[in-house]
Amino acid sequence: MSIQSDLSELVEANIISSETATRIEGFYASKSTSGSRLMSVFAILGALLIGLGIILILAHNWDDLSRSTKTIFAFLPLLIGQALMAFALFRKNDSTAWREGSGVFLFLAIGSSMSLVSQIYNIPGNLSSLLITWGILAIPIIYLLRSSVTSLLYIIAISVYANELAYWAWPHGKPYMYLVMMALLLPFYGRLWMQAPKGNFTVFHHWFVAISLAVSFGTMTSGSGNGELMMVAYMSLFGLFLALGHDSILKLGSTFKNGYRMVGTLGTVGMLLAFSFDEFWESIRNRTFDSYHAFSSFEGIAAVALTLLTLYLLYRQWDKTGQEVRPIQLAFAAFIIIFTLGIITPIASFLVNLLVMALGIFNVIEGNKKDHLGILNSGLVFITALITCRFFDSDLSFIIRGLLFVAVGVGFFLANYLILKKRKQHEA
Amino acid sequence: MKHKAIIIAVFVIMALAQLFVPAQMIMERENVLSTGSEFKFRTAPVDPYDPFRGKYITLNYSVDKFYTSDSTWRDQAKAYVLIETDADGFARIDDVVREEPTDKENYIYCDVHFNAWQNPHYLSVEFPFDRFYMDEYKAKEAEISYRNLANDTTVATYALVSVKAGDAVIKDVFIGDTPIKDYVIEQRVD
Repeated sequence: MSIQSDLSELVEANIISSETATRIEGFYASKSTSGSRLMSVFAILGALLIGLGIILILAHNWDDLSRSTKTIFAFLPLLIGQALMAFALFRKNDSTAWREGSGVFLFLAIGSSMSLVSQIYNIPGNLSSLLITWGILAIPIIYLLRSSVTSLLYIIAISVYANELAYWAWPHGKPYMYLVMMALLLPFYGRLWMQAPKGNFTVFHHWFVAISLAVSFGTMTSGSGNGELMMVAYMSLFGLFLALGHDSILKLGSTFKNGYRMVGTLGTVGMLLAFSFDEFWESIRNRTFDSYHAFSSFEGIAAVALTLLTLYLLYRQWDKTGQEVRPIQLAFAAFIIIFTLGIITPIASFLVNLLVMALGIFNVIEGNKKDHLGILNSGLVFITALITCRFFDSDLSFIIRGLLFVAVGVGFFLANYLILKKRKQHEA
Repeated sequence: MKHKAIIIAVFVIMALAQLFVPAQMIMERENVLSTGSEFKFRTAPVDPYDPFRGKYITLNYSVDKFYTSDSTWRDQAKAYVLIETDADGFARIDDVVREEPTDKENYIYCDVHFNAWQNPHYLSVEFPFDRFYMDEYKAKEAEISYRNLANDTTVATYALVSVKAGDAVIKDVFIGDTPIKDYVIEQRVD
């Protein structure tokens, strides 16, 4: 920064004007901030690698060491991490590199200390309670250091907890704590969103939260005969993601940055394709639904809450911004109707097929209108995926299935060709 | 300044909590190890289809059944298992009770499972010391040795466990009278 002392000298000697001096200063300042962003990335990567490396090395049991020596090693990363965090918190609070790096290191140290003690004392494995304790001990790090990377690691930890408890642990449990842990993160997430709506960390958070919810939502199913109602709840969850991902709220367009929109779209279409098979509907057809138990179960409450919330957001989207609601955003509502019909009639699977077909065709038309190849081809992909499912499902003869495929393939070519031809005409 | 005081306070509380959790895990177990009674639990052959875990060996116990025809055990998931030493110096189950014993200390609080489809009926006990962590390079050899010898009745394979008031902590695993990690080294030299 000797530049600055030289600058004042040059201004005094009238070599450069003070205005030029300010601009030179600003130029160097912006250079250093982009440098410091690179520093942050390296610091985060470095901390992650060091932390993981330490965990791996410590995980190797040193038989020759006494128990007390091993215990010291259990605490060492923890103490180092806390010291680093204190340093970052009180001396280097402005440095993102320090805050994120120390946060990640301490986060990993918490886990390593608990798992190392488990190994030293041969404690029987209970992964879910270790993860929960890990998460609770890590929450203050996220808030004190305002560390986004620690927050992302935290989301991974609680998602693993939910899935571990529900699917892999024995006996199984209901990971309702997952919702509490996620709720604890919301103030931080919300503030991050407000302060930097288009920042990289915010975009990552959208993706992580969307995927975590999508994967962990199902772990809390009550399973006892209301499992099918979970599907309605899930469709509404994806509908909520689509509403959140819309420009009226997220302002990230339809790029890959828009985690909610991507997960919402994939989730909605994926589930509909699954429901296009009759197998699913066989299990609920002609069943008497005990509506009291259905609506007081987790699925029932979640389905109602998510549906209402999504409808509200859609209303706001339509009313406030005047932007039209895209049909895929209404898929969850259509599904509720289909689901209700599915209990009493056998036409539900047929209706789902119609719905997916309609979504695909709509995208093709919209893509054509807006001259957007991405939207157009996504519509064609929906239709192709649907046809592929029918290929494996129905007892249509091979000839008919073959013709269907050829038809869709021709459709792909035609649609793309027509658009590109239209573009060439406009350019000509 | 008040803002900074809050941050310092939260940080200190967090740091203490983070240190407390592993410390408590350690203190509980050290207490059992130093003041508990030692028992030798004979180990049973490991199911050969168990996937190899690498960093630890899985232990099965031959004394994990308690014969009883009391079918009210069907509803019980956990119980207090009283341990005593038999004539050969190895551990055996003395009794299984629902209430925590007040006069003795050598019992373990663990999962039990009532097995009613085999005659005579019995309670199978899941001892909470079914794994023993070892140096990853030794673990595989140890498991093979242990598996081969567990069927050999002339060599006793057992786990030395410290028991106190419901808790149990494994101290070491022995093949004959050699700790397993030394046994593996001996086997390598041959």
